[in-house]
Amino acid sequence: MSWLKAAWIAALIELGATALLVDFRNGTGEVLLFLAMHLAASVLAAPAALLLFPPHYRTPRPQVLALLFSFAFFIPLLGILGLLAALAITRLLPLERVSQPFAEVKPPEYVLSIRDPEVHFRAAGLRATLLDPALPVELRMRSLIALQNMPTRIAAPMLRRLLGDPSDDIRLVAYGILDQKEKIINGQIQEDLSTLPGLADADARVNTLRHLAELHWELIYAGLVQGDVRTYTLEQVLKYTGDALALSDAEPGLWLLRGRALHACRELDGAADAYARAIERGLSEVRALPYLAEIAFDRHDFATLRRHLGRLSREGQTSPGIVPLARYWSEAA
Amino acid sequence: MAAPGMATKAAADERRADSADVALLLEGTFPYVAGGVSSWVNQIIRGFPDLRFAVIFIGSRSSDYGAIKYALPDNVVHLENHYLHDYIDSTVIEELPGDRGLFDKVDRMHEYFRAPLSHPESAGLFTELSDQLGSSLDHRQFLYSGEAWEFIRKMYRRFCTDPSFVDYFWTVRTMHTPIWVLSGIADRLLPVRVFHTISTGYAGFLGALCKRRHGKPLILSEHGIYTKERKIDLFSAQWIADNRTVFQRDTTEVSYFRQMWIRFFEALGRACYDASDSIIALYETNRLRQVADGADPARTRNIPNGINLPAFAALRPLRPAATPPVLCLIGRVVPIKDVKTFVRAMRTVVNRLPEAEAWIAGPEDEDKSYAEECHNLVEGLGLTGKVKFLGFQKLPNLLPKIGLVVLSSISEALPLVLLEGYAAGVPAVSTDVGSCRQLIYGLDEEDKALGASGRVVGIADPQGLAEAAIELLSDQDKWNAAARAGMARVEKYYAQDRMFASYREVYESALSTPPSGSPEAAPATACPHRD
Repeated sequence: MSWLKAAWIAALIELGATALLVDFRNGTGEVLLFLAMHLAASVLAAPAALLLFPPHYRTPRPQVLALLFSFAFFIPLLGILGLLAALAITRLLPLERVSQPFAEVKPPEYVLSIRDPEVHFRAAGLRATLLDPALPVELRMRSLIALQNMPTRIAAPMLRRLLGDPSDDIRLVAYGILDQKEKIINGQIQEDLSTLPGLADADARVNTLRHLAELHWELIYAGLVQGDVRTYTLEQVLKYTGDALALSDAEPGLWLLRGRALHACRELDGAADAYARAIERGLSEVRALPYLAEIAFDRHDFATLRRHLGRLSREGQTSPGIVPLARYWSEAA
Repeated sequence: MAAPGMATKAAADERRADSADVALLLEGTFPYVAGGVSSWVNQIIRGFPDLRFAVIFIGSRSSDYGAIKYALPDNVVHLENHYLHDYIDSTVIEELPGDRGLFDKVDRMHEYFRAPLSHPESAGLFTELSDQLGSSLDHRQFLYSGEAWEFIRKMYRRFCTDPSFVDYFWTVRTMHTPIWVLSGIADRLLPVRVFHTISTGYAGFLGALCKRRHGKPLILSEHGIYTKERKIDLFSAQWIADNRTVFQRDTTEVSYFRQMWIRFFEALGRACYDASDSIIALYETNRLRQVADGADPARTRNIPNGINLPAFAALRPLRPAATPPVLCLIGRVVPIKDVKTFVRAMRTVVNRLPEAEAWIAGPEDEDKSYAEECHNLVEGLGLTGKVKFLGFQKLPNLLPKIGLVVLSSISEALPLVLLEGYAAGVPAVSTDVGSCRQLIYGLDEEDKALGASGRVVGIADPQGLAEAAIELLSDQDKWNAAARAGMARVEKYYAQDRMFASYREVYESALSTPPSGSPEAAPATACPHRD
């Protein structure tokens, strides 16, 4: 006998038992007979359902069997018919099982067992090592590589000196570092130049023009351009700040940058005027004081220079680089 | 052996012969790339019409090269092309135990390459192991054997300062794969009497393998110093991983993978120097560098470049009476030529000599992004119309129209364009690289007495370059003196007949060397310049 047949038989027994109750006349005897038939149907239906259900519904087996039996026994008629319906659904409409290639694994333990890098102690400084051609190239190369990680403004003058080094390797690596730094800025300039013509919005144009001016200034500030190229780059700073200010002249930062570019061109009056405009438009006066002091120095107006530096000291805004300058000029007073 | 698969360029270019006299092993140069070294190779082949040459070209990817740039001379009887990065792994993955004894030898060979002077006893191991690259140490052993895995693990634990084992593992695999590709090329090579490599690196390593396999003499002619140039590239390469954290990083320490790549090329160079019977440099500084890098001084010598004088001297009458204010950089538009410095210098030149022009005569297809940077710089400096990119030009058409040959390179050996310019009556302004100082101011007293045939300036110094060019172009007397010195210098020291005579001697000596039945490793070099 197959289990499917057993399920059908169980259903028939259950129907028969229910019929006894429908035609209820003889009292207790019929009730006992009903109970016996219902029990038999349940006992037959529960294991049949268990074994006919798809395998993943069958475990844990004793509990599932107990559940199915309870379902069949404690819900007369409907329980067994329900089981038959469930069987029909699970067999006729099986859920497509997708095999899962994944398995749970424990997170690996990462052991960083790398060899510790050698620690090098040297008494001489970076500069001394780099500029001494008598030292082994390997040693100087280490210093050169350390220079690679320094801010361009600090590293560039040293790298430039190394372009004339007797060692080919040092010369070429120094060139490579400088070239790389310059390439990054020039790449950004090209990017801005290509987007600029398509910008219709005034704010966006001002932003891009400001960025172009700043990038050109960065080339100068970092010491990456010299001679006529530096002069030409300064002209570009003036051009882009001029274009940006023509669209929006309320930005103190742009006036400050323009002032510094004019100052670098030795146009002292123009620079002083640009700084004044920057202050008018909200630049903190203390920030402009070092530049104003520098203009005073270039004009040999030492009284003004002293006044600016004195004020800077009083405001307590002096950067470490300016402290000795301020002290010198206040002592000279 | 599981032969590593190789993609080869379409057979259209290739020529086949059963044998040849000299196999030229060429990496990334003649006949697919135009330039100084390629011209030299062309010159040598044409200078020895009695010898039959086989050209073995090694490139990166076939897509990196276009059509042949030179008409192949008739005495090139064989041409085959191989591309290291087109390598297709055709090995079947299988578990192999590997030979522990062999990997111990590989370990000791690496110790030798790390510190040759500390492990001279291991110098011969390269010979022994290179013979087994096709059998018990084939590519499958390297890729799939348990011993190879253990070896890589051991080396990682012993040396690596980068935390990523995964990156280490794949770096080792990628880096070493060309060794088996080159070994396959050496195995299948046609019979020749002499191997001649024009650089160390992959071509030089192939030369070392060929020498060991076939027992024929190996000649090495180095123009630039390959290992040095690779090293410089690797120092600034952006593609090399560095996984060190901020706590592990020592700012003076080059990242481990960068060091590995540098050491790899040093080892290739060392293997080539050890195997070469004759090691030729173009000038003394480079010869000393070869010795410092491990070449046996007794096997080194200098043979300077030479040019076809009558062909260029014939151009002198074609020059106009007044010197054209044209500065010309003749060379490929690639970073090593530092074209950008030349362009920057033109900003100053044009400010002072508004009629001046700069011509850049050379192909731009080798490094397109760099060429684009140069064009952008021209535009950015407002030099459009003043700096012209002419592409590849024939020198006889170009030289009579220019006033100065300019070389702004950051690295050169003995540049032919300076000599060709001199012969045609054009002086030069060059950076202080390679032998340029000797070419412009002279080498010995007698040479110096001929006068300066131009000016030498520092590298990446646009202002200096401009000042020197302006000095010559704006003073006809100085220009004439420099042109005269150039003509005298090239006629006296750099005629190609001198170069051919020296090479004939080298070839005759190599061709008369009896084949060595069982090639022995050359003795390890005790070089005082290395520690």
